[in-house]
Amino acid sequence: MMSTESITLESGKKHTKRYPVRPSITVYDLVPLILFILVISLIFIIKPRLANVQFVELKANAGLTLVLATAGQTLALLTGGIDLSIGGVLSLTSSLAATMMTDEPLNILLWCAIILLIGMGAGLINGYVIAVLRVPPFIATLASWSIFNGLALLVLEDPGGHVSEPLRALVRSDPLGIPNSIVFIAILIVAWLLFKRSKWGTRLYAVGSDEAKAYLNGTDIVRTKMLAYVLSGCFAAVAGLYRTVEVGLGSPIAGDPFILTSAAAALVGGMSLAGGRGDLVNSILGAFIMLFIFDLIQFAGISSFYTPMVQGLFLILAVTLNTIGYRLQIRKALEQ
Amino acid sequence: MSAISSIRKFVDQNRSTFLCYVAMLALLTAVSILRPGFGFGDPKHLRALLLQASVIGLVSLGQTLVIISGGADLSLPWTVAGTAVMMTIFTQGQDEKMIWAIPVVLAGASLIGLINGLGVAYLGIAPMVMTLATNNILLGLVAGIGMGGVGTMGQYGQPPPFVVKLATGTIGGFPYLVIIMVVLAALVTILLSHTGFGRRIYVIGTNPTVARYSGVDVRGSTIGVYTLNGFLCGLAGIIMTGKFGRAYLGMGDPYLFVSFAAVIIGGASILGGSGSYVGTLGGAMLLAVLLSLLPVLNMPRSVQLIIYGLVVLFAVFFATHRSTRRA
Repeated sequence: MMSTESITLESGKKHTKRYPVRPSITVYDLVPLILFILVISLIFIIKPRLANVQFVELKANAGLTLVLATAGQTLALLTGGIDLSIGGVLSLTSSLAATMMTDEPLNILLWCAIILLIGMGAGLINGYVIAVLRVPPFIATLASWSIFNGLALLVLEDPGGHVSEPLRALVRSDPLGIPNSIVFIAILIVAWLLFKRSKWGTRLYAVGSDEAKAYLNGTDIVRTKMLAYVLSGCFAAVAGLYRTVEVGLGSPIAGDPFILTSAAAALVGGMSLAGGRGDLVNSILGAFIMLFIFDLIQFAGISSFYTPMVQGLFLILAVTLNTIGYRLQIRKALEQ
Repeated sequence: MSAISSIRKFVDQNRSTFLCYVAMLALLTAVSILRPGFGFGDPKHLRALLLQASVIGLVSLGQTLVIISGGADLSLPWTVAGTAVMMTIFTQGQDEKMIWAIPVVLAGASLIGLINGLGVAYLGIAPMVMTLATNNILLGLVAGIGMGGVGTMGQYGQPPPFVVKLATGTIGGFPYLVIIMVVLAALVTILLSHTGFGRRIYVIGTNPTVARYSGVDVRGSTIGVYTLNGFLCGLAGIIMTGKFGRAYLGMGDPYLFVSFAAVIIGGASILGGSGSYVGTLGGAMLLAVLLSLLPVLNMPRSVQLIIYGLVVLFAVFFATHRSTRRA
């Protein structure tokens, strides 16, 4: 993709410069897709009768929580940070949704709004501490995870509570003939593709790849980082709400497994801890790869206790492949 | 005059560590005054505090080294749990089997560290990702093998009586564990400040590129740090079996956050290159005092978590604020 920019020189002549905005898609960007196809074809080879619509619907419904958490994590990772507080926010909103929401439409709307606001607030706090107070993201969000987890335990001591039935019916309904979770993922992807090409999307990549250069080019680092963490918090908040509706109860520790799994999924999807590269679509693929590994292990007749081990090995494999791919890409670019 | 100025310089260089100790003592004094029978008023409470601080210090030994070297160890929970499980399975509660069991367990723990180090140094995987992956692998291995009939209800046999005595016994009213900790603290401090390897840990933590151009074997040092970290986590795991009297799945989980908190509160930079084990011990003691204080004031776990988070946030903010102002 090329972009043109005109600069009027001192002499009055117009100088037009063409420069690449973003490297075009190379084969290395397709590593997550290849892994995804590999894993899903393995599943269908082992259990051919699973290749049907119900399986896809089931997986989309079950996977949406992780997809949302991973989407948030991806935005934080893009800026070169990480958001461990996803777990705390998810637990807090899950607890709130299970204790506060009733069956009245107004009440549901109110609490949905409050949950979104909590996500935004959490993101604002994280963003402020990271971008303005310059606390390293890892430790800043580790601390805020602890705080939000504490708040979640204040709201709900043990897993339980109830789910608002109308909301559950709404989420489970399929007005378009396909499950809402698939519609939601599709909307997410379209929104991402639009966002990626927007001003703020470019800024997110710029801050992640080289903060100093981005600053010198006039990028508002503080606002860009704030935006990333606010969006991340919102995704985590919605993930908590969705998990409660999907599972049928709230839990003050619901989010804990998602802290590391969301990061792992994003990394399998080609994100880098250094920031500035990767793509949300690939991260979503990464989330499904992590979920399918669980299925594969079950189908292979291996105890599901080994799942984390295989996920760990897969994480090392995927990150190594991505690193090698990235190095080859750089070498190729240097040769040109 | 020169003595005063040199003391002043020393305090200035280790400000976060001093602040941490001062905060700990102030907190302890406040408790002693507000609640007679706690803090300085009761030797038993003080001993419990020291024991708690020793446990936190024990699990933070390796984490201190890794963080100074610019890394992070997320595999701590399951390295500790894994070695504890190995220990109880191998010894089956018998002292005689310790002769071969302890070296085997420590070798296993060092191997875990070595794998972390190789992944970080040679595969170029970020420390956080590599150790996260190892943690998951260990989790799967320990849980999976455990379901093969070795353990029931996620518990795995008994530790040998000698280890139990080491972890819970006292000599003249003084716990063995505290003595072990003091010895280990001295060893790690000497390693960090008086050996070439210790200096290399700081150098690679400050700037690995500069370190490489200065002729430091960055890969070798990285592998060394992670292997030593694995060994120290193994040591912690063995002593944990004695402390709890058993090994169980997830026994290391609460210690990940605590180990980071102790190191960071103790004044180390999460970005690497600075920190000391004396600082970590201060952080461990501050956490221990906080931990013992909250139940006394009838605060539930939820409030404890919130306060933990705030304390860590404050400590890090203070540390980064100072370092950026100086720069």
